Amino acid sequence: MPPNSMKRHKSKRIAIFNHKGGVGKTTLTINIAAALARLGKRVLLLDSDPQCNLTSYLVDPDVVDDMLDSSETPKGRTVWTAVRPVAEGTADVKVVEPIETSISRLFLIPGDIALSKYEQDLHTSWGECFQRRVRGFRGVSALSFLANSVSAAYEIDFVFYDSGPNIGPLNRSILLDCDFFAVPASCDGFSVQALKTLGRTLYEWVRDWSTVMNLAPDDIYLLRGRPTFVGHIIQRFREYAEQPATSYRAFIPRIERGITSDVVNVLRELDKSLAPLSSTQYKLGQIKDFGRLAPQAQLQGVPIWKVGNANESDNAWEVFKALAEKIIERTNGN
Amino acid sequence: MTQTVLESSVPISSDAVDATIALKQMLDIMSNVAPENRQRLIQSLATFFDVAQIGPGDVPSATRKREGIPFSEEKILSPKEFLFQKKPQSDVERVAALGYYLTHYRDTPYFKTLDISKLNTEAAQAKFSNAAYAVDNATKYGYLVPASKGNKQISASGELFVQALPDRDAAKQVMQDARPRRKSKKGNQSREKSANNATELNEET
Repeated sequence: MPPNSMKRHKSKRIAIFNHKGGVGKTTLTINIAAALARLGKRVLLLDSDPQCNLTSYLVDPDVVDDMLDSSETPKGRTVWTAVRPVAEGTADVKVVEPIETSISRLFLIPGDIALSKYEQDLHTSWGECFQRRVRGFRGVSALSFLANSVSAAYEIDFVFYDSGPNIGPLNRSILLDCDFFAVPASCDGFSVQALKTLGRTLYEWVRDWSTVMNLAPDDIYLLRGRPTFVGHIIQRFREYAEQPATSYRAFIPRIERGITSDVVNVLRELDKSLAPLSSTQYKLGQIKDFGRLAPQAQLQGVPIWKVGNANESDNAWEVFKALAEKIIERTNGN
Repeated sequence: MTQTVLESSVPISSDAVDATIALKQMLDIMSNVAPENRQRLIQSLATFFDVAQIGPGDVPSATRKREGIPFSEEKILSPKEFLFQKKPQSDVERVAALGYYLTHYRDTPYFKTLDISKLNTEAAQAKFSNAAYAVDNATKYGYLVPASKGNKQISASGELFVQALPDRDAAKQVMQDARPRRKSKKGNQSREKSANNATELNEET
């Protein structure tokens, strides 16, 4: 079957996305993905952030360096190895074999700093899509094609993209490929502020891509172009008496209002099915600051519930298990 | 009886010249035979084809060190399967097991920390908290020894240790036996003291 007519695999593609940095996108992505894997789902992590933080979380730093050094050789297996032929216009996506991680049923396609080269080309590819050029569609959907091929080969249930903190063309392609997205937000004023631009940006991306889809030639592999909002995750707060401490608590209603007015309502202007739940249902979870457990887990390359004492571990697992179950339910990923 | 078994179970194709296919078919047939009859059948076959049987005591020394690993899996055993069998319980033990795997399955008797880390990733293991530190510790514990050009190699006791795994008692015993016996400081001092006393006595007499 020629690549440009490949059918979309049934796996659910999700991004934990916020263009604000430091809200815990990568940590959440890993822990939710690992929780889904523990619940029996087959999960693929696609590190599409040129900073490669997700890859460094799971793989020894010297091995990451070695992979980056060899990404342009036949032995390469990073995301850049896969999309490089498309970026350079020499061939189609080279489907790379994902790394099997220490977490059962969790696979990883390592990130690559060179992905920023691909991002530069995406500007051109986006313009070519409006000119109905196949090359443009191939460029824009290269990561999606990779996720699709690996999902089919490894019978993946969920694909998680890890994105960088920006609203550049790479994240545009990722979000437009996702079936669902969730927004993490820290308990601070900057997170509230960021929500305003987030909703409007997504609105423009979806609107523009729907124009492109109408122009697309028949039988070409396309991004889905309809990322459905599944909810927000409030995190990075300290607790007092098992409640968010007062200084953090003040931001929670502001975040919730921001989600409703700046994300849900804005997406509904375009299409109600992009934010199908009622405004009160969007809270996916609330994750307290796990303190020393987070860096410990990062150091060992394991989910947070794998470190700390039995009590801390059980608490962390319950939090992420609930989050994973909600995601399964909302994405209909049974 | 051999003939009956061959006819009644898996049919052997006439072009089964490939040794792997032949072996597969034989294994299928033998798995249908009662355990008490298997030895007799194997002996009959060996006699018929004039093949010398290799008993446990006849294993060549070069292969004896790999006891415990089923021969049929020896070539295809992945690092993940190998670690699954050996069940190392610490980073240091994992380094020793990976060093053993590099030596015996990858023909890499001399390796660097990066080789261990890469194999660790391939084996779908959690990353080392500090790979260089783990390799250093494996050297201190005697599982690895330094080789030329900053490389490491598995030590003799390291090999025996990994071979003994997953039997932890046996593995522990291997390392205890391998540890050099040092005279205790106290013992040395008392011995020196008694020697001095003896000298003094001799001088007095």
